[in-house]
Amino acid sequence: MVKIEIKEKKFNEIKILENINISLYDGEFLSIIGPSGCGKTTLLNIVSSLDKEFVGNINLFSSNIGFVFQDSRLLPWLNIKENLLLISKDKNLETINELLKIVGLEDILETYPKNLSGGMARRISFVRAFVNKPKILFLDEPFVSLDYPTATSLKKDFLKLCKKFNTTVILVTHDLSEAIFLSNRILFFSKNPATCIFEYENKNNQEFNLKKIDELKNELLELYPHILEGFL
Amino acid sequence: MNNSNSFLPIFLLIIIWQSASLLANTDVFPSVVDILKSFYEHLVHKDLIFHVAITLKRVLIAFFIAMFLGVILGIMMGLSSKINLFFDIFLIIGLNIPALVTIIICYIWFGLTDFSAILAVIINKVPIIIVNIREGVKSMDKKYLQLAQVYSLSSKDIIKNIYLPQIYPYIMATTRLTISLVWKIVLVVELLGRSDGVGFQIAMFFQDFDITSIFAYSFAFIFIVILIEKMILNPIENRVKKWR
Repeated sequence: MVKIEIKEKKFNEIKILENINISLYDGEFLSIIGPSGCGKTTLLNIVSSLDKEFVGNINLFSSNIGFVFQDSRLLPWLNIKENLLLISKDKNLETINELLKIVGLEDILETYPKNLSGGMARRISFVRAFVNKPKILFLDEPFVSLDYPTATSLKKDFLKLCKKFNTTVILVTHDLSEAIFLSNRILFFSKNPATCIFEYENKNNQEFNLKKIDELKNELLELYPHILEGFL
Repeated sequence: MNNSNSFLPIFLLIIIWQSASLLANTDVFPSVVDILKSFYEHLVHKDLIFHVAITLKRVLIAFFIAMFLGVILGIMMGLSSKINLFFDIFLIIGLNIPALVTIIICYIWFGLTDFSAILAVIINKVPIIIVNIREGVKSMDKKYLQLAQVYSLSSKDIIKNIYLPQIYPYIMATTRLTISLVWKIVLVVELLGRSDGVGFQIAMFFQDFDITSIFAYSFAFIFIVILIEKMILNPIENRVKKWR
């Protein structure tokens, strides 16, 4: 269970976020879509306690969280094993190896991040997020700058991990197809200040069916052009 | 540049020096051969090792204490604007006060002792270490701290795995700079108020106008500096920067 209540968030006297109320059930996958610069990352920073200067209340009911940033953010001076063990609470190498197997990366524990491709580094950042079997996971546009096949295969592996640990997920993205593929529910945000203007219960059921995803996307765009116009 | 290549400039310098000294043909410009002879004489029959060892001891004590204080204060000033503001004026004074003034004041206040000599060196060199380390801390990438915060890393892990690797290049550069500066200042301190050490010996040779011995002592000196660089600093650097 996650309860987010943000009355107001200001930056330099400018209101960035306003009246945001979100509740998530355990294991729910929620996507937040909004125009660039609307404050989606600020919202994630607040919810994950990176930013504490706001008016409101966040209750995650667990301190076991994970975060996948826009960049892989691996520490370049540590090899993959050291990067993952640093985050791991129980320092269990078996769990790490098991997770690496799920994302199709084995025998790279001694490798340094500089020797990984962008896609591999991103996979490792997902593994890192799951190292402590998190109850809640925050994702800040983690699939941007990846090529389509890499992003698709990573999304599938990611869903496997989410189901395995029954993780509650909040994904921030600007890609509607991605949100339809991955999430149970989608919130659409406006800009200046950001607030939720529309909520969509997704009928896709986390299936990777391009035709179905396209149909749902078109249906959404046809039904709510006035809402979605301008930022998709 | 590999090892054989790095000896080439030294070899060229020796040839140029030897040729120039033969052409000049004067006592104040001794040849390489004369310097090596004098070095051997001081090493085997006189007390070069004793004086170099005394100087080296002062250099090492002053260096380690100065680095310890400088790195700690530099990190604190880099991390906290309040601490930075408090110490900044002392830093400006410390950076600009002439070394000669500090040395003489220390000798007058605490006597002509090793304590005064080493204290004077530390006071002189800590500010420059602080400035370098502070800049290193300020240039750290804050995004890794977000990572530490999200995953609730311990303070020990944050210092060891996030702060230190990022300021490490600054610590290495400062180590090199400090060693070279401490060497120089220790000699001045010895010249002004000690009765042993390389600085004291050079003052004696100056009074006798014995320039060959001055070069012989300088040779011993340079040899040790190169030894520290090749045997200690380079291996540490190579071991730690393998991720680059």
